[in-house]
Amino acid sequence: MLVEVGGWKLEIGNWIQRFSGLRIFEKPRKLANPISTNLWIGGTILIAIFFAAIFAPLLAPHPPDLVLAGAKLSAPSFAHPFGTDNLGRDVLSRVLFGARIAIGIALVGVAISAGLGIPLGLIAGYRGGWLDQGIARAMDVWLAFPGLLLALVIVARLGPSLENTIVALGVMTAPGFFRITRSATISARRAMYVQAAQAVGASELRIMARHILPNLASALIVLATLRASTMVLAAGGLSFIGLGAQPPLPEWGALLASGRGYLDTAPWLAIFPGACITLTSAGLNLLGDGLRDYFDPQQMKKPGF
Amino acid sequence: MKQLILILCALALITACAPTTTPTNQTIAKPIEGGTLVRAITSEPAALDPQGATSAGLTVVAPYLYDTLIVRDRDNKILPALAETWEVAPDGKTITFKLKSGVTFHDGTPFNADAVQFTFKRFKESGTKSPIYGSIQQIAGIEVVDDLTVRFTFKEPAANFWSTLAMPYAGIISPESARKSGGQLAGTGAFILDEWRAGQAITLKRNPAYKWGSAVTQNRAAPHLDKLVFKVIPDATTQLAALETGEVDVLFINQPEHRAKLEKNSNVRLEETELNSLIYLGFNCNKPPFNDARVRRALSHAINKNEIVNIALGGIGKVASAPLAPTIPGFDPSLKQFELGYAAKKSQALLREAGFTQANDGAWSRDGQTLKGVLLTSNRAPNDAIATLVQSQLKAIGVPVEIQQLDSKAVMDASSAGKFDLLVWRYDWNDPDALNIYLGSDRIGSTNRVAYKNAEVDQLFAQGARELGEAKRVQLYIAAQKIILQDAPWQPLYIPTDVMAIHKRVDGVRIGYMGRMLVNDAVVVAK
Amino acid sequence: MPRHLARRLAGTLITLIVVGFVTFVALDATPGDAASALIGESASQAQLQVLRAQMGLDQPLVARYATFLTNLVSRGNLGQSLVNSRAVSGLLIERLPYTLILAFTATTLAVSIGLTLGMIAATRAGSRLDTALMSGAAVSLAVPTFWSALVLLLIFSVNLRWLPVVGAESPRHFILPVITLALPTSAIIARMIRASLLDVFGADYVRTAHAKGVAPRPVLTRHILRNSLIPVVTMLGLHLGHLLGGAFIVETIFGLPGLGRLIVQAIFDRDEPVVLGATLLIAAMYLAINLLVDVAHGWLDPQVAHEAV
Repeated sequence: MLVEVGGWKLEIGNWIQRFSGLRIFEKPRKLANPISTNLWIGGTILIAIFFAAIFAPLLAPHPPDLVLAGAKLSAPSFAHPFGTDNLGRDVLSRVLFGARIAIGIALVGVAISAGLGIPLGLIAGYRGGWLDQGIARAMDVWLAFPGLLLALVIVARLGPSLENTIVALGVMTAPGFFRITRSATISARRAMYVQAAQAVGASELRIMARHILPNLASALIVLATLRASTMVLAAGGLSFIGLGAQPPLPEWGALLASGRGYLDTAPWLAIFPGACITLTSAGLNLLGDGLRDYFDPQQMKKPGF
Repeated sequence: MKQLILILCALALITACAPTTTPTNQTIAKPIEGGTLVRAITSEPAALDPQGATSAGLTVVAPYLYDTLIVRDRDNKILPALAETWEVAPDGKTITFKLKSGVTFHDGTPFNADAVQFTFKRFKESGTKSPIYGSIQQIAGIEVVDDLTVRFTFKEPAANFWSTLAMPYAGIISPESARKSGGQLAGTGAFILDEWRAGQAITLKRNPAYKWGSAVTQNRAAPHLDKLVFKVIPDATTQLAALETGEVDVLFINQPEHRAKLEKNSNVRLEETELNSLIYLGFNCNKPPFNDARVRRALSHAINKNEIVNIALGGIGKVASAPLAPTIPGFDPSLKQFELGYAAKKSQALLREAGFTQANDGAWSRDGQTLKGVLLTSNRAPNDAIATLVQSQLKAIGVPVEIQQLDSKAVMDASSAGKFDLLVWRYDWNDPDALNIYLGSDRIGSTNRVAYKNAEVDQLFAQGARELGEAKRVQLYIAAQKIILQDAPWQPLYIPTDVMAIHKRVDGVRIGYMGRMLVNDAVVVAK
Repeated sequence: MPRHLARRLAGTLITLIVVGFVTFVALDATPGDAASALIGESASQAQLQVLRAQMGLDQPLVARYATFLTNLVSRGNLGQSLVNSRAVSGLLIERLPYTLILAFTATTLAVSIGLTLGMIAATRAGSRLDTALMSGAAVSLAVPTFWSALVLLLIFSVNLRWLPVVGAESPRHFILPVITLALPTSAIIARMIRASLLDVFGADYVRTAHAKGVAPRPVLTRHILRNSLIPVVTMLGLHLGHLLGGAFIVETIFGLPGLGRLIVQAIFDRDEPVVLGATLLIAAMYLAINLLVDVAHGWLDPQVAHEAV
């Protein structure tokens, strides 16, 4: 499941690197692309969600966990613009506070994923040899290991909580960052500027941090954006099987999962969180596309075919 | 423009999702002998061995394959099944059963006293995984008196034995089939196992020789149905969809939204029964500050059970006042006066009495320790809603609680090991002995999850287990419950209700004891 | 080449052994074991210990894994389920066909839709059609599977009554699950194909081909598509590898008896041999697909043939 929700996107990085990678390492390059529609739309959606998250306490008409026993399952109205849920909680308030959780999942999840994958990729790619082989094998194990088992173990060991779910998601998706970093580092190692840095006796750490990493930045940013979208979806998948956020946290996936049974009687329970997930995920994807176009000078030379 | 039209079409398709009812044939067709009834089940049994590990699937399927010596009706009354009559010796240590004659197993071998003896011997030797194993261990000897007479002997009178015998786990199996390795165990049930496609469906076919049914159903001979199919559908929402399209005929629901939806469906009939079960809020009696009965009582008074039943359950359940469910002998309405009812003022008074002081922000503390806790429960509906309401109710008196949802196995493991502060959990048992299993001090570390210990109560449990006089036995358990309610290891929350939804394509399906689906009278009335 | 292949296979074998061991450690770290999961509520601690010993769960972790490996190597035996005593290999073989059908059909469908739409979008880049296709792709990528599955089920099974709701008896039962799984993948492929086609359209060799007077269509198929397929094949390999691990959510909603449900049930039952057997099977299929992907890379782009790993 995770496998199916998140899995197929694990390798987007490879693809980005494959068709845009070689050029990314050409240094210096111009960032003179016009900002595309994708970037606009994606950016606007995300800014809106950030806005909702930051100002949730001001925007939300009610506290997100407030049980209004008398108002359960009321349809959208002035008092409750998105209606109320089965316990009488205001759906709009929950969705707004849910934006904070979604952003937390996306940011922290990607940070963990990148924090594990990028250093390992740099070391493996730069050092090569047995170290590279060893880390690459470990990553194979990592990828071949069922994601759900990993998530279950992490949640069972550390206790079920949103934080641990995010850790599980981050750890599961680290190989994607590893792969793209590693193969890009291998190419960069042979580049003139790296050899020049080696010649003047710069330390390995310095070469990796100052010379190789900045050249990977654009590809990694694109990957991070796309991966963030996967995280938001995968967190919903985990909530579906009860491994995600703990109640009463208004995680969107959990809201959607518990709203499924009410499609006929109270459709607002599923529609609003569902729309938020799709909007966020689509926004991140568009942003990723836009950034890729933006970073990619080749787009400039595209002939009308 | 074309895009717009496309989008509109798609929207129309989605909005067309409003429930469409298929035209129903008003004239009910003549009952058809034969036909198939399909019941949705959430999970399939691991194996169809009544003496094996328990699973929801096993208790659902086994009763159709394996008859028991006795059965109970919906009012908990004992009725003869494979045993025709029985006699209890005055000292209560011997029970002699006269068995029905002319009964044959599915494998053609005759049912007799040897089969009964074999069944329970096998159980004693290898039934460790069964939930009634402990009860079966009380049997000291099984003696074949003649072909149709069998005598059970006990070291101590075993008052809970009748409940044990009525459970589907105590189904009688053919010795012949059990000795053959790898084969399916044969029973004497109204249906015979036809086909089992793993993860999909278990199909049973009619046992044409059947004529020894119990009085639970009108038809005591072979069932009218040709086939009984248990279709494995893990997702409750899908089950509902399958009922609507007629792919399944019967399903059980436990979520209020599903009942609300089916109540509007004219093709579906609902039948309900109260279960011999209890959902309770448990406190870890081993862990400070919950080892202090005043704290437990204080938190118990903060719980509004009506709100839980009406809101979290949408009415699928009944407020519980005592540790035993009303359908279990030993329950008494008078226990209500000992219930720690909803009274926030009492909570505060008790907390002060226990030495807690309340800060300006409402939080309670004693010796610098804040009163808070972790509420453990499983991640199945409707536990999330119950836990959320308990959390909100405790917050109202100033006690913050963090919810932890684990899968059922992990909850059982963590709670047995005492890794929790508060617990929302349930038991399903048909005998007052349940109290001993779940609150007896010798079960601490296993089923006594809350680690409750009271010598006086233990003493009453021990007497109750040996007392054969029903009235006297009931009194012992009432006395025990009064103490338990005061000690408050549990705050009983509610008695769950089983709701069975039946498509009108079939008629005569009834709900029986412990929510069992009774199909011997069932007929298919329309295609 | 054979030596390279042998090394590769040896590496795969080591990976599998490690995957197995990690699974063992992971299960061991999860609270609860099969004995405590199975034992009756009324059984005592002593009975639990007996059952634990019967199941071999009282042995230390490394010893248990060693026994498992010895049985596997010497007798090709994956052991028995602790829950129902059936052979693990039998349980896996029972479920595998459903997973294979689902995974391969969904992937095939995703490739056909994705390639077609991606090519259409690329050749008409900037047009309204392109925008519509790409927006559609962006949205279908962003819908959680459990949601799209339910919506498809409600529309096509409950309301229109075109397709059955649940089961795996006929090919018709697979239509909705396959579409659910193929939808997001086809969106990814369409986006990738479009992007990489646009990318290569500008490359030197395409312009050379043009200059040589090669007509547009052969240019598209022979020169460009082959190159753009490389990233798609990589992605597909991983995608297929993951689908072969079972699509738990889709299997659950549509009641399909695939590997996903088997492994999740086994995890919840703490059924060590079944989890282990299923994990190894899934990992083996995953690694095999990866191997095929590398072979495909060599075929699509001879230059990569010698790249390490």
